[in-house]
Amino acid sequence: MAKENPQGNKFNVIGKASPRVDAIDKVTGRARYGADHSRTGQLYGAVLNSPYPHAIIKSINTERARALDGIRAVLTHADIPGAKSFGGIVPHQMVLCSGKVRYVGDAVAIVAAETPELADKAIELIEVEYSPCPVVSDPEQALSPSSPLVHEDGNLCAHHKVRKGDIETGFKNSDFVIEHEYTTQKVEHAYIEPEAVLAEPGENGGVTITGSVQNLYSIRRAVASVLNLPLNRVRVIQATLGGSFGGKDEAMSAICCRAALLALTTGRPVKMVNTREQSMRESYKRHPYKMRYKVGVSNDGILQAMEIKIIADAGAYAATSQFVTWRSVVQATGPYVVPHVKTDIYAAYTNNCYTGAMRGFGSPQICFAVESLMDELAAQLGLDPFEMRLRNTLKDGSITATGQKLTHRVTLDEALRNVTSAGGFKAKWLANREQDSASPIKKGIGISCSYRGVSLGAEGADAAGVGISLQTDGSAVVTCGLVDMGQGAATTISLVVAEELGLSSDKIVFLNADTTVMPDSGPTVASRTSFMAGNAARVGSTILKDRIAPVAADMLKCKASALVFCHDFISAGSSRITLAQLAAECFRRGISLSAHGWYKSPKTTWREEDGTGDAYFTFVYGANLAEVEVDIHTGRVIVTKFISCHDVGKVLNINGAKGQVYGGVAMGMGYALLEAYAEEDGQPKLGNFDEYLLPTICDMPQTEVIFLEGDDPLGPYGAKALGEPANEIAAPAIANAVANATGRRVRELPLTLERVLLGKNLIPGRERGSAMAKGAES
Amino acid sequence: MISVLEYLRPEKLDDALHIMGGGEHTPAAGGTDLVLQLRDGRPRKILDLERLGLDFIRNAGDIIEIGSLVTHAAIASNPLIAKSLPVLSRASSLVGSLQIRNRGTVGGNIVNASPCADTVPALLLYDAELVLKSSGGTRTVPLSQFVLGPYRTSLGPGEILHSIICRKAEVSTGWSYIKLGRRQAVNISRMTLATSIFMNGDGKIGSVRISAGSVFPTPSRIPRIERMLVGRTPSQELYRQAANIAADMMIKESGHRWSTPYKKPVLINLLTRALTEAQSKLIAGMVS
Amino acid sequence: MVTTDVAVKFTLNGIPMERDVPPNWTLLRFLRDGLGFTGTKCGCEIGECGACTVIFNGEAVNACLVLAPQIDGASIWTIEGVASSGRKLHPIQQAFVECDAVHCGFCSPGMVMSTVALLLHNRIPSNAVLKESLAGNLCRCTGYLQIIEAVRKAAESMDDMHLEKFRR
Repeated sequence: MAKENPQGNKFNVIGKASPRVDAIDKVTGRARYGADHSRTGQLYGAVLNSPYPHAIIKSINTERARALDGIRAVLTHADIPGAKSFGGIVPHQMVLCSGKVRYVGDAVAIVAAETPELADKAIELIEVEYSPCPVVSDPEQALSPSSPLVHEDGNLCAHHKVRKGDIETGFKNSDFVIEHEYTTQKVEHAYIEPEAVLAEPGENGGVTITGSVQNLYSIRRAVASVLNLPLNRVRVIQATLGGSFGGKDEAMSAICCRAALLALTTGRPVKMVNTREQSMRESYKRHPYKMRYKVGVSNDGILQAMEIKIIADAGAYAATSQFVTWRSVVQATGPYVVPHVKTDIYAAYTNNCYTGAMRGFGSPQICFAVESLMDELAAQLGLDPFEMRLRNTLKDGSITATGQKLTHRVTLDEALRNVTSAGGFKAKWLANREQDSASPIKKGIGISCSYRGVSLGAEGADAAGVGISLQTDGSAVVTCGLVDMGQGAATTISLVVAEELGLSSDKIVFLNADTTVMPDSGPTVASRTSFMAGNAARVGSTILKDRIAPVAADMLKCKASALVFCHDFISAGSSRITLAQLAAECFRRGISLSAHGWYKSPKTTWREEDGTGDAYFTFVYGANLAEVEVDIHTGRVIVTKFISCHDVGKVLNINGAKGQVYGGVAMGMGYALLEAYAEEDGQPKLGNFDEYLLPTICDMPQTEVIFLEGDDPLGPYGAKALGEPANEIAAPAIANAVANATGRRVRELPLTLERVLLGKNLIPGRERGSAMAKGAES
Repeated sequence: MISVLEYLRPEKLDDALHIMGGGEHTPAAGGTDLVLQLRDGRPRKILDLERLGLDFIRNAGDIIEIGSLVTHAAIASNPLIAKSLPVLSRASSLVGSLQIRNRGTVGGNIVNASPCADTVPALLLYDAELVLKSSGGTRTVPLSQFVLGPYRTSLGPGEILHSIICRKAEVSTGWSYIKLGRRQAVNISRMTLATSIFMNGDGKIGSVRISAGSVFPTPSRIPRIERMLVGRTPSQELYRQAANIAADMMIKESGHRWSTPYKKPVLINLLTRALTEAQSKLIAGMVS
Repeated sequence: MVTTDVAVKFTLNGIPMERDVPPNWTLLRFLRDGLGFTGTKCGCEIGECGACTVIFNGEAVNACLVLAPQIDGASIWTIEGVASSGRKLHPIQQAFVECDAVHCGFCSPGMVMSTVALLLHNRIPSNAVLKESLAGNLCRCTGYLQIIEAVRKAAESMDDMHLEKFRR
C-alpha cells in the first residue's frame, strides 16, 4: 500500500527513529496521569481491605464511620445496585465482599470523605466481625479433595491439555529420559504509577471515569453491570498511563466500580488513588508455576517425548488464568519439534493474591523451564547448548506441539546464530567451565530462545479499530480503542497513518482511548497492538485516501493512480498541492474527512479435547544471550552483557523497538535475580519498593539488540510483535549463564544470593530482620 | 497517613532543648527514616533540628567532630573525612540513593539504630563518641554503648544527639568497607564489614580494627579477633581463621537463625576478603 | 485533631511564595494538592522510586520525604520550571525526547530533575557517576539505556547557561 517516496526509499517514516508523539508532554510534566485529574468539590475514596486471607464475614457495622463529620458515604455490598461481582471470564470477583473474603486484597467497605485523612479515619472506624477459615496457600494442595474450598464449586480454576503422538512410544524411542521440576515465583508488575481513578456523575445519569486503565472496555462492562447502567452511560477515558505491563485490567475494574459507586451515591466526583502498599496488596500478579518436565531424547540429541505437568497458582479469583494457562499449554514444549507430547496445566484457586495478565502471559514461566532443560539435556549428551538447540528447533514447515504447520518463514535458527556469533558463545562457554579456582568471581554465558504466538490466538474474538479525522488545515486527529501504556502504541499507530497519508508525524495528535469515541477493540494485551491497530490504521487510512484521492486528481488534473502522497503534499509529476489544500477542498465539496479502520485477525482454531489446532495465526522467534559474573563467596550475580535478537517481522519505529527490548531485558533480569512477591499463609510479606527490589540503572548491562525482519505477510508492512518476546527469555539466559559459571543448576527463580550460594532458598521466619537472640529477652 | 499535629523548628539550641524537655516532641533530622514512621501514624509532634547549626565538620588535632545534622552526601564529599576517616567516607557514599544521601544525616542513621545502618560500623572503627545534650546538660557516650538493640538506643528523654567525635585513622592505615546487597545500588545491607589495619615495621600486624553490621544483634566491633590478629604475620590462613571465629561468635550471640546457613559461610568469606583488601590497600599505599 | 499550619516562605521555580502549610503534609503532597503542580509524581512515598525527585537548594531530593514545613527558606525546582517557556524544551528534556528515554513517562520528571542536579554538580560525569546519580530513580519501561544515552547527550551538547537558574 505504501507508495515509494520521491527519494526512492520504500518508506517515509516507517522503520525510522521517530520521536514519540507523547514525549514532550511527558518530559515537561504536562501529561496528566490518573492521579493528576481533579475536580472542584471532589471527594476522596478509601477502601477497607480484609485483614484475613480467608474468613466468613459475620457482621459489618459502619455506624461509627458514618457518624464522623465530613463523611459522605460508607458503602458495603448491600449498597450495590447491580451485579455484586465482575470478571472477564468468570464473573466472581467481589466489588465489596458479602459472605466471605478470599484474600487480603478483598474489599469489605468503601467510604467517600471530604479529605483523604477523613476517609482513612472512617475506614478505621468500620467494625467487621470475621470468622477465620482455614487458609489455602499451596496450589497443589488446593487441588486435593481434602482441601478447604476457596470457591464453592471447587478449587480447580483451569485445566488445559495438549496431546500429540503417543507419549509412551516417545519414551520407548528415547535413549534416556530426564525429569526435573522447575518453579517460578509470583511477581508484581511494578508499574511506577499506582492505580488512580476519578469517577464523576455524568449529566445523563451515568458516570464518567478517567483513570489509569489498560483495558477500557472490560472495565466499562464491569462498571455498567455493577451499577445497573447501559453501556452508553458509562464513559471510560484513559488517562496517560504510567506503565501497566498487563496489570491495569481487573485491578482497575475493582477500583473503578468502587469509585463509580461512591460517585453515583454522593452525586459528587470521587477520586481514588492507591498507595504503593495498597497496590501491592490488591493488584494481581504474574502466576507462580511449578513445572514438572519429563523428557526423552535419543543419543543423537533429538527430542522424542515431553510429558509436562504444570500447576499454577490462580490465587483468589480467576481473572485471566484460563487464557494465561492456555498460552502456556500451547507453548510449553518450547520452540522445538517434539513428536510425542502430553501436557497438562492446572490453575488452582488459593487464598493468595490473585494472578492474571503480566507481560509474557504464561510464557516467562515455561521459557525458564524449557530453556533450563535444554541446557541440562545438552550437558547430559556432551553437546554445547547451541548445538543441542539447533538439532531440535522449529524450522520452515515444522509442526508444533498442537499440530500446527508453520507456513511462514521460521527464523529461530537465524536468531540463535545471531546471538551466539555476536557473543562468541561457544568459546566462552567452554572456557568458563575451566576457570581459575583462585578467584571467587566466576564468569558465565548462557543462551535461550523462544517462539511466541502473536495476539490473542484462539482465546477469543480478535479485532480492533482506529479512527482518523483529517482537519482542513492538513493536520489530523488519530485515536484507537487500544491504549498507549508506555509501550509506544500512540506513536506506532500515528506513524502508520503518517506513512499512508503522506503526513508528517508531527501533524498528528493522538487522543487517548475513550469508550464513547471508539468501538470495543478488545484488550491492549498479547503484544497485539502494533499488529492489530497497525493494520486497522492502514485500513482506515486507505478508506480515507480512496475518498480524497479523486478530489486531488481533479485538482491536479491527473489520474488518481498517478498521485504521490508525501511530506504533506500530493504531487503528480511536477505539479503539487498541499494536503491542507486538498482537505479544505474536500470539506467544501462535502466529502467526509474522517474514516474508521477496522481489522479482524485471521482465523485460528482450537480443539479443547486434545489440545490441537492452529492456535495462533502467526508466531515470532527470538534468542537471547547473557553474560554474568558470579561471586561464589556470596552468591551475588552481576549481568555484564546481554544480546537480544528478535524477529519482529518489520521494525516500525527503531527507537521504540529498541526501547521495548531494553525494557524487556531489565524486567527479565529482575525476574531472574531480584523480584519475588512473598506471601506466607496468604499474608503478603512485603509492601513496597524497599523490599520488592527492581533493577536500578546500575544493574542494567550493556545490551546489544539485533532485529530480524522476517516480513510477515499479515502484519502491517510485515510487522508482528515484540513487547512480550523481549521479556520472556531474558531470565533463562541469565539462569543458564549462572549455571555455566558455577557448575550448579538452580531450578527455582529468582536466583537469590542464597540459592546461588547454597542451591536452595532460605525462608525467613516470623522474626523479621530485627528480632535476634538478644532481642528476644525484651 | 501522616498525622503530625505540630511542627517546630527552633533556631537556638537552648530553645530546642527546652522544648525537648517537655517530653512530647520527637527530634527530626533529614526525615528519610522519620517520614516512613510518620506514615504509620506516629509520632505526632516534631521538633526539627535543622536550624541549630549542627551541620558542622570540625577538625581538632587527632579528632574530627561531626555535627549530627551533616548529611551523608556532605560526609561523602568532604576531603578531610576522605583523608582521615576514609571508611566513613566510603560508607556514607553507599547509603541509599543520592536523594537519600542528600537529606539523610549521620545523626539520624545512628539514632534510628537500624541493625543494618551503613555508617555505624564505619564510625565504630574510629572509636566514635556521641555528644548528647539535654536541658540538664551534656554527656558523652561511646557509640558502642549507645545502640542497645535493633531500633533501641540509650538516648534519654529530652536528649538530642548533638555531634559525633571520631578519632582519626593513623596515617598509612589500610582499610576496607564491604556492603553486601542484592543490587548494584540502593541496597539495604545484608552484611556490612569495616576493617582497618596498621602494620609494624617488622611485617607483623601492629593494630587492626574490625566491625560488622547485620552480623550481631547490633553493629559491633569484634575485639576478640582484633586482639588475636595483633602481632601476627598476615596471611590468608590467618584471616580465614579469624573469620571462622567471628562466625562462631555470630551464632553464639545472634542465635541460629533462618539466615545462618547463608550468613555463616558468607561472613567467613567476606571477612577474609575484607582483611585481605585492607592489607592490600596498605601495601599499595606504601609503594606509591 | 487540631493541627497548626506552619507559615513558610520559599521559592518555587524561581518565584517567591508564601503559604501556610499543614504540618502533616509532605512537600510532594503540597506541590500536587496544595499548588496544583502535578508534574512531580507519587510512586512509593518512601523514597525508593524517585518519581517525586525535585531540586531542593541545589540538590536532588525525594519530595515524599520532606515535610512541607521544612521548605521554609528553600529554593525548589520542579519539572514545571525546567523548560524556559511553554514551547521550548530544556536541552535535557530535548535529549530525553530524542533518545526515546521517555516511555510511559511516569519516571521522566524525576529522571529529568536528577539529571539537572547531576549536571549542576558534574558537567561531564563519568559513566559510574552518572549511574550512581540516577540509581534512586526507578524506571520499569526503558531498561535505562536510552536514559543514559539522553543524559550523556545533554551533558555534551548543553551550554552552561542552561543550568544557571537552578543554582538560585
